[in-house]
Amino acid sequence: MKITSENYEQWALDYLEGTLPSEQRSAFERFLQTHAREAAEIKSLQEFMPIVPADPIVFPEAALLRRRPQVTPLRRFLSLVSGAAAAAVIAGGFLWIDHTSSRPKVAMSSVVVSDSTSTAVSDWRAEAVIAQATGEGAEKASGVPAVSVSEGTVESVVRPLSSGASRVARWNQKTAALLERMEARNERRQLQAEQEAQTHAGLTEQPIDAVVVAEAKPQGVSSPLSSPSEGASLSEAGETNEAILRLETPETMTLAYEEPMSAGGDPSFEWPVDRALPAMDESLLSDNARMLDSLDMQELRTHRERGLLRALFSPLERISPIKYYETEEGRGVEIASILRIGSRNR
Amino acid sequence: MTASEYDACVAKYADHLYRFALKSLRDSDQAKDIVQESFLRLWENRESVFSGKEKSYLFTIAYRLIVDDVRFAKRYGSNENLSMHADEQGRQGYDNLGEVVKRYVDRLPPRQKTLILLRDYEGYSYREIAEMTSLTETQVKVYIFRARVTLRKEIGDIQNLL
Repeated sequence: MKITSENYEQWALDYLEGTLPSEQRSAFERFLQTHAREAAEIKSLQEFMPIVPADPIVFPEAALLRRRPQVTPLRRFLSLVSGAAAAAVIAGGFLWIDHTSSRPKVAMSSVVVSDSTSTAVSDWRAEAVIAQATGEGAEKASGVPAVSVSEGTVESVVRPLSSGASRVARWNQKTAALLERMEARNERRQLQAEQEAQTHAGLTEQPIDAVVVAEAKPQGVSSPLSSPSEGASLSEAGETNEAILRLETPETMTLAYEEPMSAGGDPSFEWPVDRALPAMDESLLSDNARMLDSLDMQELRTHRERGLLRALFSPLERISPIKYYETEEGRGVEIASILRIGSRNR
Repeated sequence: MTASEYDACVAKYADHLYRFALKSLRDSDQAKDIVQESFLRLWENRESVFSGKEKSYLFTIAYRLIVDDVRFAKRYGSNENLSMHADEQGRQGYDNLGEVVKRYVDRLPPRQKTLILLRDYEGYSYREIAEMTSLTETQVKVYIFRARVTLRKEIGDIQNLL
């Protein structure tokens, strides 16, 4: 085919790229020799061929085109780490529950007040622990109550979800003060019992600083709280009425038993075990002590366990709901309505 | 073609197809639509696409979509003559010759521009380009030669740029 000015472009690109067959190449060169304009054009392209450079352009929505989600090694690693962390938290909860449930439980009974012995204080002390705000108790200030359990004692009744070590320390101080007052009260009771026994036996004199006040039946005669110098007063009828004897000292003037003792003043008399505590002056007791007297210990222990479980599993509440359950068989926490972690009732 | 093979095509050709569409249309949104439509048609017709022909199929679809785009036709019209003029401001401040070439490629007629991109950007042979564009191989060579001559004339003497 003859190369002309109208069709030379068909071979020009191949000539420039060097892919033209030898026969066609010779013919094209003969054409350029007779056509200056086309020859200048070919020569300029031989000096500089404008090639469009490729840009490093990335399609931003390639992930949307995929039919399968792309699992990168980082995503797979993060999923494994999160699963291991969740398993470690649950395993730790199981170990903690098992540890707390294995501690010896001492039955909380009502305080036995005995006038003849001083066992009341020891019984009370045996069933309450004064958690010292030192050591392990002090560091646990972020919602975990300080607990220090000694041999043969029961875990202290700490305010649930205590906010700090200072609050626990104040609680401990109030509990200690309450124990001291009860010790003193028991001592006074013991002393009273001894003195009454001696009084009835007529062997000893009244202490100088003590006063015996005898009250008659309501016949218009009142029994004044007299000074130690005054003696007992009887009814004008001279009859010995059934009297309520009180032994009061300046230190115990505000502590008065409302329950009458037996007329015979039997020193071996013991309060019934199931008898409620005698009423005490509420003003002497702090809020904590009143709560301590009024609440059931089992309920307090349950409340404390609930607070500890909530503190332990609070990070999981962001993932699934955490509920506290309590049945006849046991109690604990319920995670996502499918997993229960707790202890069994014995 | 399985889903895995399709995803492999996405990973291999999505960037090339997007670059080709973006350079042709100069609009990122339209280019994204072209790419998504091309892969969608590949998935729908995956049973009829032979193995090893996925890239040719994708670029064929993309080229036809570009040509059929109304906005592409309105922007460039059907006039194949070059309507470019010397842009003195455009010649100044270029960092390299590649940037100069890119700037003038955008001014080429649409068909010449598309063929230049397929040849230089994607490295297709003249035969493959002809299959994609429904042209003869000779026609493809002619268009590309004319595009290069135009670019050479507008760029001028390389020494003037240095």
